[in-house]
Amino acid sequence: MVSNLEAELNRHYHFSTFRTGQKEIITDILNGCNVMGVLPTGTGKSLCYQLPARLLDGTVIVVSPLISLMIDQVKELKASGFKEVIAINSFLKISDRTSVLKKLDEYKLIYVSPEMLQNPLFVQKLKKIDVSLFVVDEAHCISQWGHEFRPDYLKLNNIINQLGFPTVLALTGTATPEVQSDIKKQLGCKEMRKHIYPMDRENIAFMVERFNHYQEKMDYLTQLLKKYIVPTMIYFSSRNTTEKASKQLSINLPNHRIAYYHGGMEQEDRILIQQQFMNNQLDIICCTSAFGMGINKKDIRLVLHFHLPTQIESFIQEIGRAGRDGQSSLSLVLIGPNDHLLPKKLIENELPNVQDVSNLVDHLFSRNLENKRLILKETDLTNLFNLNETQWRFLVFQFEKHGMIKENRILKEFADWENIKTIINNMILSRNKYKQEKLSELLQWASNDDMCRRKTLFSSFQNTISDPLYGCCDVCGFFISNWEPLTSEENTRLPAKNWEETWKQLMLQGDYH
Amino acid sequence: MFTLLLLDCVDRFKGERSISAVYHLLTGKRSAQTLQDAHMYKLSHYFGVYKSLDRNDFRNFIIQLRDQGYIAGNDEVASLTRNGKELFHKENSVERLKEFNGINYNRMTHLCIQRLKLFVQTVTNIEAGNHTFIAINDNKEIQGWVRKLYYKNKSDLKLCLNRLYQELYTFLKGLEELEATIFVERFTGSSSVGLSKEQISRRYNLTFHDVEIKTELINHKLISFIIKNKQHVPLLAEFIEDLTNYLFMTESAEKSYQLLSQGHSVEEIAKIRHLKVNTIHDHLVEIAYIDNEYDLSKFISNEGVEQIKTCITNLKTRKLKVIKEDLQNRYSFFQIRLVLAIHPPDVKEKQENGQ
Ligand SMILES: Nc1ncnc2c1ncn2[C@@H]1O[C@H](COP(=O)(O)OP(=O)(O)O)[C@@H](O)[C@H]1O
Ligand SMILES: [Zn+2]
Repeated sequence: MVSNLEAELNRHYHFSTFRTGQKEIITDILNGCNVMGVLPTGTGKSLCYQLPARLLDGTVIVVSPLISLMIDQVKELKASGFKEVIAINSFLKISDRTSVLKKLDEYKLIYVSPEMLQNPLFVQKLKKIDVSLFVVDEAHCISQWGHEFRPDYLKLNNIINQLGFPTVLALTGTATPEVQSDIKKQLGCKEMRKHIYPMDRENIAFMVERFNHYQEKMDYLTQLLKKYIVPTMIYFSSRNTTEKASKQLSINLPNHRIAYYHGGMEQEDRILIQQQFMNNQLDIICCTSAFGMGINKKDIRLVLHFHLPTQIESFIQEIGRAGRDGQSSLSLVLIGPNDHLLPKKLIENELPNVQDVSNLVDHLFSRNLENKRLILKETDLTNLFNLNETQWRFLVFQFEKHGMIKENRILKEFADWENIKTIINNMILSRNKYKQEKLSELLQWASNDDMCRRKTLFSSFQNTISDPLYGCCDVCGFFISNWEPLTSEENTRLPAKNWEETWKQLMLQGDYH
Repeated sequence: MFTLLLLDCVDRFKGERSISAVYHLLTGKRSAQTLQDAHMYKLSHYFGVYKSLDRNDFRNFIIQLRDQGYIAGNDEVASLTRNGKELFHKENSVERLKEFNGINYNRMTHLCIQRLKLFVQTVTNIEAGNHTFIAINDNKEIQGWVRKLYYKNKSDLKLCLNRLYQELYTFLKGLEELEATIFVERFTGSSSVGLSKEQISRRYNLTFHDVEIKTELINHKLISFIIKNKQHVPLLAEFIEDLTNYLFMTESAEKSYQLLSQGHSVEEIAKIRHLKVNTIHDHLVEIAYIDNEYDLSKFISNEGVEQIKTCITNLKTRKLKVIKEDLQNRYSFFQIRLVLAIHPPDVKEKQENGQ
């Protein structure tokens, strides 16, 4: 088939060698084997299907839950000259969608959101084209035990079935053995070659520091960042704190270029901030977990957690954005006395609460009496019961699963109104309990000052840990005073110019060209 | 600036409209009521000048104005206090707010400025030899439009950049220093990424609302400038050429609109105004572009609307002739134009959820 993969890599990407795991995975795929790939974030998972997309006849389909990531990748691919790619999701306008569907077979690589695959018409169209590879990105989402369970993912095996069992590639950055076997089972693959690579990063050192209150953290941060002017990310768990802290830091550190980023910002501003960071116009970015999905900056030296996320898997993913160029980098966690409360709240908010479920079911029951085959109207109901999108998706999935609705209509024969409340509520309670345990696990990791942080962090994912390159962790004797990160080239802050100069320069006029 | 604008609105409503009428006006609610208010109280220049205004932010701001003693009354009837009036007359920036032209421009400023930003990013990058930049705008329609203009000028990008530089320079020269600075710093070029609104607000010590209002005011000035100087700024003129014909409400159309709201029929309006029925039809279509809740039932049945809508979606066309023929000439050009008008192509940005 393809004799020289390196040559193809070079031809399409101008890279000379494959990174760990890529060649093995691609070879298996080209030979038609199903593959499960667990590769640490940032090592180049997307290449594992993008290169086959160029080499295989037919079309590669990638299911990805992250719409922004999808759009970024399509942009990047198009920018690099690979035009036969498309992202199909709810953001694509209906009119665009129709024209795309007409020429589906002209694409070599199609990204789709899991919701789109619920659309029977769309699946019908997919069945007509030659699907050479079916990729499940962020495959841990399929597992109830994964950190971002997505009910929609459970329906993927049915799609694979309908498409006549194309080769399947499941990719994820983090998956415990428990999650791995779940992925295989839920996708309905009998055979699956596993390519599991360690996720510890030898160029990242770990530290945890404790504080008594918010202001103490801010003071510490200020001192630290004064000393190290390096590309830095600071994670917060709420939009409000992100903004507040960013403003305060800007005052404390007038020589740093600081901005914040969260999902509540206008689209245009989000793109600008992200690109400023990539373009080294910013030193520090204060953000929520919404930032970083699509970003591909190689020289981030410092990843700070002002707040911890809700589980180890997310934490590993976030620190994984540090030091992609292999240079010495640091993960630093700041712990405060009440820091467990916020993630706890976040967890409780992910699923609807028990009272809401009862009320909603009662409401539907009585409305259904008046109005047979009642249609569930998302916006009406989410407003009425104050549900967010994830909560709504969860409920719809449960209603479907337990035979109450189909295609958003209440089924004629459904009568189990009381029972369904109990079932769903038990489900919510047990999921919340599980997530609380996951949270405790992370908090425990941070509070354990007796064992190597690196070893304990990765212990449930792999058996051996490689030797750190630049320093291990504060438990093993790493001191921040010894940290010597590569500082980026001179801070290119130019003196403020008047608008006429700026305009001239921007438009490449005169001497500036 | 935002304060003044709100005080101006409250003052002109003379306590005859509730506070939420101000909100509807600024966010450009396309309802007959809001449009009528805009005309009746001579506030049409503010129509839709702050579309992204959040309801809660608005409420809080009003409460703040009340606490500061600038306005009195409740949400139903509000008026300016003596303090409010003083502030209002002291600052001459009220004059500057007159340069808004909301009723006419509100639907085109966004498109125009987004096209301009993306075009500048594209041309400067390619001219600088960088072919793999990531577009600052995701909107397919804007991208498509920019691509076309780019190909048109591809043979001499240098010249094109130079012209755009000059044309906008002339415009910027006519602004205040701060306005010109803000405008320029929002642009992304080949080596620097533009500033976000929040960054502008910090750098120039402006409130968030003032950045919004100022930016929008500059955009309105830009469009006035282009329209007034069409001959002298041919490249800029291209950015709004296709927008003007259906986003404007001409004075003449406004008159017809008033007669229509008073209950006159098309024939009557034509008679009163000594115009042809066809011309009145043109006006009605114009109005339909602006007034979303405009009642078409006088002119076409609901079923007709649905059929035409389906046809537009299915054929993916907005060409009158094609639609008319596809529907076997059951509907007149006028009727089709009305339906097209109330279903303009969607150009709004969407936001994702998440943290
Ligand atoms: N073989 C390779 N050699 C050099 N760079 C690579 C290689 N494979 C991938 N990359 C780069 O690594 C970065 C991360 O890739 P990506 O697929 O986004 O990672 P992941 O999905 O695993 O987080 C990208 O910038 C990509 O171009
Ligand atoms: Zn250690």
